[in-house]
Amino acid sequence: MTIEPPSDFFDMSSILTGFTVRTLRLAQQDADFYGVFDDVYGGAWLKDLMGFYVARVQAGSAPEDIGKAILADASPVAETARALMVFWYLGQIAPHDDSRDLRIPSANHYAQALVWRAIQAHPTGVSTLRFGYWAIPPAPFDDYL
Amino acid sequence: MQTSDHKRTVAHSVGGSGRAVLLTLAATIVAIVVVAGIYAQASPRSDETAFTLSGGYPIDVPGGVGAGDTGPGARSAYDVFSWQSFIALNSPTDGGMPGENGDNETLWSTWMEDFQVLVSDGQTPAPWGAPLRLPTACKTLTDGDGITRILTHASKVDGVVGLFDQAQAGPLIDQNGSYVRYEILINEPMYTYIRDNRLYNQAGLNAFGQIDFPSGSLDTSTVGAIMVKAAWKVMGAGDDPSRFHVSRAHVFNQQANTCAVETLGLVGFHISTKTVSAPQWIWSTFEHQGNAPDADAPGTGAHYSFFDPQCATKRPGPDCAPNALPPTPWNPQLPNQKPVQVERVTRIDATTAALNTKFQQLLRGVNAHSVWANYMLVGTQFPQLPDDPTDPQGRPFPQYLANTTIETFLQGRVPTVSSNCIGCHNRATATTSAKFSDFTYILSRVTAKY
Ligand code: HEC
Repeated sequence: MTIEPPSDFFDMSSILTGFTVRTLRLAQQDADFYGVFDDVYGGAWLKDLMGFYVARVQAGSAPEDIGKAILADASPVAETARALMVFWYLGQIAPHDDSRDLRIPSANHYAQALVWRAIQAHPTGVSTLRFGYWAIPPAPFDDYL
Repeated sequence: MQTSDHKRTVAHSVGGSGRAVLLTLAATIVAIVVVAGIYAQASPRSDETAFTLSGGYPIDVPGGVGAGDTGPGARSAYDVFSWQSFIALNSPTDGGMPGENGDNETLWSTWMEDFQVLVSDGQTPAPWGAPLRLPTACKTLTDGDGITRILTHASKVDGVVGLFDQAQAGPLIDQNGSYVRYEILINEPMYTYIRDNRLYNQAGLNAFGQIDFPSGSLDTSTVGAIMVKAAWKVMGAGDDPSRFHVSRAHVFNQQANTCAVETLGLVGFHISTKTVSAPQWIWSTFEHQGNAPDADAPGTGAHYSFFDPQCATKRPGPDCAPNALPPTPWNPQLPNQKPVQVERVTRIDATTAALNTKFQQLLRGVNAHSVWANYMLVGTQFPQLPDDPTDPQGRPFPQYLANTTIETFLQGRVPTVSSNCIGCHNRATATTSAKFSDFTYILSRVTAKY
């Protein structure tokens, strides 16, 4: 991990993804979502998105309202936010100017993608559970958030 | 960042000798620990444990370290724990500090070897402290008088029933063509648990409930289960034994049923400690500093045990590919063994490296030529969320950790492939019905039926 992401990044991502800051931080530990998004999608876009978010936090808006504002039809940062959500959920990312160049930057991004937690499962081929886990129901959904 | 504070406290302790140093060292560690903010609620007990360094174990990291909310990787508390363990375990058998009077027999070398647990049908492991029984091939050696250490393992493959047939790993061969040997030992609480609960045969394992080794507890001041795995290399041409912790040992070759007495130098050292804050155990790993360079900065001049800076000129071709398994057949007896060209794939974290410098200085404060000051902590893996219901591994940090002499071929950052101590040991089972063995592979090798 090259740079420690600012805490705003996690707070904002938490609003956008519905996962807790703690879960996002743990994912970031193993796969650099912040630095790679900055690199691949484009630092200027991320900066705009973060600026939009921070301004509304400072204005005292409620998290839910900030989320709505970010994703609103007329929002200048909605597209960036969606790309970030896709990255968190699927581990997939493309440069802003070339959506066909879609990639999963590393096996760790694949393994840490939130989609697995969202379906209370684990990535194909990467389980942290013990022998025989398939006979046991997964933990309650809230524990995965 | 506590770096500057570390420096200050260390500066106080340099110079001085004997008992004074011991106390200063202990005080310094308390200071480091306090500075590192581990003892959020400093209890007198935690001070006491730090003050009995020699032969006294650190027991646990108080309260553990919550990750996530506080930012990732609060690793220094666990790294301090690792160093305290290293010092306690490598203390002389007759007391004092490691290296105080030169190289020393270590406390952990008096523990029981894995094969003392792995008895045959109908047998019971010897009482704690019973001396080793040598293989017949070793008994006849005249120069072996008084030597008790015996090494057999040549790789992870050895003796693990069916677990690593795919040869994910193989032998490590040093610059002189000698095989690195491995040794596994456990402490008394772990040994007693296995013995008392009859976990040394399949009947006992099946009859027993959930295997749950004792955990080190600060509340009761009790040390929990500890297991170590040591990697040794034969001291040969180009090696300077005065820079290693050395031991004379019987080296037994199972394939050929032969035995030889060799002087071995310690090159790698794993310590796994079960504690209340870490039911997934704390995984510390140390190395000799002269093993191998970092992959992104291969040294040129220095002598390494497992890396030849001139490899490409001397032996052009595939031999110099870093961290590549040696060609088969794997047999230590065969002539012209090809050394493995080892590089450290993941650099030691900067905080850990800074802590290494402090502790090495402290060890040199005890003895300027201490062999122990030539060892460094590679890292400590610990569970950040030990009770996470979604992950029995407890979200280990760092995600990957490898020792260049023990996980040589499994370095890197690829999920399920690269070395993750907790991740791999989490798969250890003890019976044919795959009962979880509580992170040890020793019980996976129990073959006695009754
Ligand atoms: C790929 C799987 C794997 C990984 C990764 C791994 N180990 Fe092990 N470990 C084993 C096996 C298998 C054994 C059994 C003995 C042998 O074959 O050498 C073992 C043995 C040990 C032992 C002796 C006790 C026992 O369970 O037998 C210790 C201590 C140990 N490992 C520590 C570590 C540490 C520390 C790390 C991380 C730096 C680590 N291991 C990484 C597989 C692994």
